[in-house]
Amino acid sequence: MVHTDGILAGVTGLTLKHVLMFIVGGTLIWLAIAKDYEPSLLLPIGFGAILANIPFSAAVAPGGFLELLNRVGILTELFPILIFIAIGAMCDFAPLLQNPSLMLFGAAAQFGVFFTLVVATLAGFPLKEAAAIGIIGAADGPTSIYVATRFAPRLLAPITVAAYSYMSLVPIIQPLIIRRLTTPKERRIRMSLGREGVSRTTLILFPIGVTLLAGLVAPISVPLIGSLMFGNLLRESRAVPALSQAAQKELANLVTLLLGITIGSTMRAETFLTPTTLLIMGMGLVAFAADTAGGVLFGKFLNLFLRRKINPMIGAAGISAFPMSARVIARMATKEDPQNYLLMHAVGANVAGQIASIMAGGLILALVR
Amino acid sequence: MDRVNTEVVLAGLRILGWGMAGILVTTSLFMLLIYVLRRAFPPKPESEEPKDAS
Repeated sequence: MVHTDGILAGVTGLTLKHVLMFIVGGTLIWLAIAKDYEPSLLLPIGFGAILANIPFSAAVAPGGFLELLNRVGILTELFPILIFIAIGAMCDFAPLLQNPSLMLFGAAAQFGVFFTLVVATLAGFPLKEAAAIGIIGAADGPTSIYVATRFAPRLLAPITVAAYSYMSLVPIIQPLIIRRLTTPKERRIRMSLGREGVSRTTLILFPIGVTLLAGLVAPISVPLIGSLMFGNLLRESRAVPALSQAAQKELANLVTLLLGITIGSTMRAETFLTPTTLLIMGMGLVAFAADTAGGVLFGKFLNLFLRRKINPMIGAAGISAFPMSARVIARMATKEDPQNYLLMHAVGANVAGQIASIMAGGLILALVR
Repeated sequence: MDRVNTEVVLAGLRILGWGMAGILVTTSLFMLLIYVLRRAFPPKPESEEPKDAS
């Protein structure tokens, strides 16, 4: 028997919404290739969106490879966790350990998470969905995916796209807000580098200690913080260089590829092309702006009490977008004063943001029931 | 998405308060951990670092 009804089914099932999703997917691919915006994620996401929106696509049908990846890697939260191992192996916490007070900037810059949560409740979202939207402000893709999978699976695609899109726009968003909140004099404040080094034992014990502390405060955060710190322990132990390298390269690349195309496959026309998506994109921008403002204003607040002033711009580096945010702040500092080198301070605040954003995710999971 | 629910907004505000307090407490604990580790395990003076055989 010959069945001909499967032939051209895609053409007959094609609607305007599908075409619009092809354009959305194509735009993401264009941004990745032509504009270099988070290419390792936006390119697979864009192509995944195209694969998912071909009418009757077997890739996303039950048993299709993208449906399988979604079930195994996203709904089980496995991919974000594996990404955290890779990020941990890439993170050098030494600048933070040299200057522990930078940890506070990581905390202050999480303001956007909770502020946006409230904004989302005002927009009429139920609490769990509002929490998942707020976590875009963590500027941390895997944490956003992790929380959205638990609290708002139907919003997973727009939340992930918003998180990664705004992360790639950090060099545009942050300078705009920082310039409005600081004076040129404040932006020129120089900060001395701590000369004291950090022992290897401290570097090794830090990830273990953080895991224990975070786990005791919010046990629900253990998968997130534990995987980040496990990756970091691989790096700092220097006992398993092959594993550390594998986590930083092969694991990071492979999971990023699978994560991207799988997230893209959740961008189905019927759920993505809605006013809710536009609202989430808008609130994502609010989250990033509030994060940046929270960090900078906290720096200015501290300066009211400090004799040796700090450059409030490093507060903006307390978000998790690593190392982009630190680079942006360092570049802004040298633009104001070519002799002002803030990179190490900004990197310290940036890795603090990495830890604090995960804690924000953990606290959201613990507080919202 | 529903109409604005005052109870949900108030719950959001409570999470804002508790969340920021929780973040500040945990980061303070991490700072304390760093101070303790650095005090307990200071870096070795350079002369004690293993030297290259050559």
